Amino acid sequence: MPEIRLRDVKKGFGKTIAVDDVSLDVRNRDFLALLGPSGCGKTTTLRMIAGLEEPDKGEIYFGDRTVFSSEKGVSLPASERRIGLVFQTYALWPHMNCFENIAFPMKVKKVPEQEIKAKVKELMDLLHLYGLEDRYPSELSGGQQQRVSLARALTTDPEILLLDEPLSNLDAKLRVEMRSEIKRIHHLIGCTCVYVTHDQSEALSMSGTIAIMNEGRIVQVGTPTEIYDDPNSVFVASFIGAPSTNLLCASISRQNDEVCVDFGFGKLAVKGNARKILSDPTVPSEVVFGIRPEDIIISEKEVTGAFQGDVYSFLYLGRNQIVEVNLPSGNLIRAMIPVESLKIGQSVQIVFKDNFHVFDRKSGNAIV
Amino acid sequence: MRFQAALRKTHVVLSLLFLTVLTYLVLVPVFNLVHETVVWGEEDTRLTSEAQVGQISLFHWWRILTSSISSNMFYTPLLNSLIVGFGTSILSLVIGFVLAWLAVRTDVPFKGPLSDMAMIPFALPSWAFALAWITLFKNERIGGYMGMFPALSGIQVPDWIAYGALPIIVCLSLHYFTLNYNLISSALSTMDAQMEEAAEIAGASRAYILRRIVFPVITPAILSSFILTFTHSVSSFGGPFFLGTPVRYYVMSTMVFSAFNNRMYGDAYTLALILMGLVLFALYLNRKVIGTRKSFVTVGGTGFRSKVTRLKRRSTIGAAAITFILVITVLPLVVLLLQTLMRYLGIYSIDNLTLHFWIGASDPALADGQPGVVMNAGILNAAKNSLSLAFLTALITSFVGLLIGYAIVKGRGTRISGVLDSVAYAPAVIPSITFGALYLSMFARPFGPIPPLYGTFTLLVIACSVKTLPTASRAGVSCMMQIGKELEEAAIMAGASWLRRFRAIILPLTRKGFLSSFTLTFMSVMRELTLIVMLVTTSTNLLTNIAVRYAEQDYMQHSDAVVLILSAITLVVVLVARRTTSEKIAGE
Repeated sequence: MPEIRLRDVKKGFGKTIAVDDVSLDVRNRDFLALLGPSGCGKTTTLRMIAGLEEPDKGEIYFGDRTVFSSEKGVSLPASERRIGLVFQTYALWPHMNCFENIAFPMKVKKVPEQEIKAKVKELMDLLHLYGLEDRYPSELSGGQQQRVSLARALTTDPEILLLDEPLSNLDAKLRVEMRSEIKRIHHLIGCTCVYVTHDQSEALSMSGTIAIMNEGRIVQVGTPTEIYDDPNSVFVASFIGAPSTNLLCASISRQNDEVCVDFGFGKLAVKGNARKILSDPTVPSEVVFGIRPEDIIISEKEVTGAFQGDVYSFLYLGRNQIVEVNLPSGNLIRAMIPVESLKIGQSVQIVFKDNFHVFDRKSGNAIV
Repeated sequence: MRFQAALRKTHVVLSLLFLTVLTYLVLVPVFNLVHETVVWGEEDTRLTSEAQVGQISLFHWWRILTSSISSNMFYTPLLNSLIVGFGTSILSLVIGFVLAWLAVRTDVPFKGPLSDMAMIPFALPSWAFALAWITLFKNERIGGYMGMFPALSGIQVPDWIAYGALPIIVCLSLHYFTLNYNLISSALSTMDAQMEEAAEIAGASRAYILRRIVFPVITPAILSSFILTFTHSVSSFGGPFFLGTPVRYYVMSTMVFSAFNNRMYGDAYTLALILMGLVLFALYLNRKVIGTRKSFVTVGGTGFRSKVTRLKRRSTIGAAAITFILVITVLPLVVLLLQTLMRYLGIYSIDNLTLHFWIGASDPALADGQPGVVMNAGILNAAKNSLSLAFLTALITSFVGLLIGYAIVKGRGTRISGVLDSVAYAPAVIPSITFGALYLSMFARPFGPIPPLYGTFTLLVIACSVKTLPTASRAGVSCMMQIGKELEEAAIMAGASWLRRFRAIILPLTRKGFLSSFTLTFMSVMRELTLIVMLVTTSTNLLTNIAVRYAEQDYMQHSDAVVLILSAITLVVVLVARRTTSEKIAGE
């Protein structure tokens, strides 16, 4: 099973650049999620790996095989890349039943009839599609269609499995079920997986590695924990996490030994490692301060160093609730806290925990 | 490298292929026609000694636009064409709108049969109505026999009812309202009822809603069908030929034909070119007006449901609508049938009835010895020709249309796809009579590697295929859009070759679209007159043009019988197609 390497891959459609000099390594047997907002170029990247779209320039390697190289003039057709692809719309052929849909790739390759039958049965069992051979796609539920589409992608024992937002057309409950199903299949088959999604919780929960894309570029690659804990830019911080991170414009004030983040409506004294970094006067002082809602404490009593605000709204989530607090400055702060009874308009104190990020306001890059 | 990469894609190869073929069959003939109008022709030597065959000259243009005959030859026919065009567009819009509104938006009874029957007039040639009209209302003006109505009732029919603008407009409208019906009913049925409900909740009356909500929203559909009807009727030939020519009421198309018959080819080409300019101008206006209103077209959204208006006298109105359609479809055919049974024209009595014109052998006393239909080799041969032409054309056009649709959709966003889209649509904006003129001027002589095709069956097949291509390629595009690109890509991933994908995926999934495109083309070629009237010769006679030839010689029974046969064939095809595809035959 190969690793996938992309080198300076570029692709434009007319005047717009869809994918801009992307280089990416996907480790052997890894499950990599290409995550990004719509239009960021993630699907185009996937289609170029699949061979459905030809890059304008760059190289793509599967292990030691060159599947595309603009310089060497190599462009392997999709069918020779030994990959499976699951489409967002499933792309099941409506005039063929389940069996025929799954068998088609093998029929094209002229696999003997007996082998086809055995393989289809094996895959249908693997994906819990017992007894659906004669059904047509229109007679299947969304989840079943998804499984058939997955089975079809696996018929030729692909070394690489590509999935293009495979769960986005399913309802919420099925989506969560299929997540573990896809993970299980990946584990059983042991192929290298590239999974395109715009759903961060899908990426966080399923993948071994996440590559975040924005405006045609890859902005951060890392494990889900790395991405969640150490976003390297304002964009990643704002994109990852639900409810989304609080981002506040602030400036750094350095007086004597003390380093403070000044929000305008109040100041936060910085301690520990962050203080060490921020005390360096060459570090820009115009910053964006980011803190996750779960790192905020809300208290009804006076706390030193807390900011005063009043409850703007709250959303009950079961164990937790999301509270929005309106500060006198007009800033709205989101906090995720254990359920306690609050009233809209009630005056509360908010406290920022030490777990926060500071970004350069100009470049958007992380400082702390 | 990039060019070579592009050539590996099947849709690019297809696009290039069709562009080349269509350039040769559409664009080159247009330039050729323009050229023919500005050089001296062979025939001009009869008119003036100045003529030097093949030399550049604006002779035809001066003759048409500024000479002593321009009033008769150009300005009057132009005015008449405009009157017929506008009149027909308005009348068919009114009929089409009322019927569409009844069928889609009201609780009128017999909705199903109503919308089925509203399509029947579309299957009949537009001039079948004209032929029936003249049979019914013919008066003494042009001599010969009397029409059924004046003869039986004793009431003199005034000229303005019997001939000219009014009957032409009425007869054309009885055919073309189906276009309006189709476009408007589909616009009405996709219009979200919530828009009307919102207005109703706001307290608006039904008339107010119709005026302020429904009309504006379907305005693009109304305008489109108006312009479409205009472009067809302003250049239509059959109706004006039967109802106008006998009293020297000429429109542009009949004038082109008359010039052609008099071998004034340069004049015919010039008139045909002007007519094309007129149609292009109308389409340009349409584009400009609709362009600003395009936002309305994207009507719909989630889960729309048609709003049904309760009619106060629903049974009366329903009966009236059904009666109207029955009268306009059945009456003309009955009138024509009756006339075929009359031994001598104009004598309306039982003992004048005969089956001679259907089954009789040659009798020198009747129609100069023309045998009845079933004994008539000429008619049988024409029927064979018509059927082969319609079948071949339908096969070629729907297949090529599908491939063009494929090439356009696959190449979406690229320049070549856009160019192919426009070029494949070009034949639609060329009036049929002009299109005939194009091919006449182009293929009367050898052109490049192609021998002179004038007078051959091949030329008819080519002309009809190219002229019907726009509808077929539009249908092809919408078929391909419905399939979506992922279904084919899934087969690419499976390693299927292009041919395999086409056979196993695309063809089966577009079968319905292919069939309806086939039927539509078959039907329109079957009843096509305007396009082929200048292209047929005695060896390639078709049913439509021998109907005209018989009428010219006053063998009305033969002419009527041929029209009846023609109508029967198209009706059967349409009914069978509706049964098998259960899909609406869309308008042209």
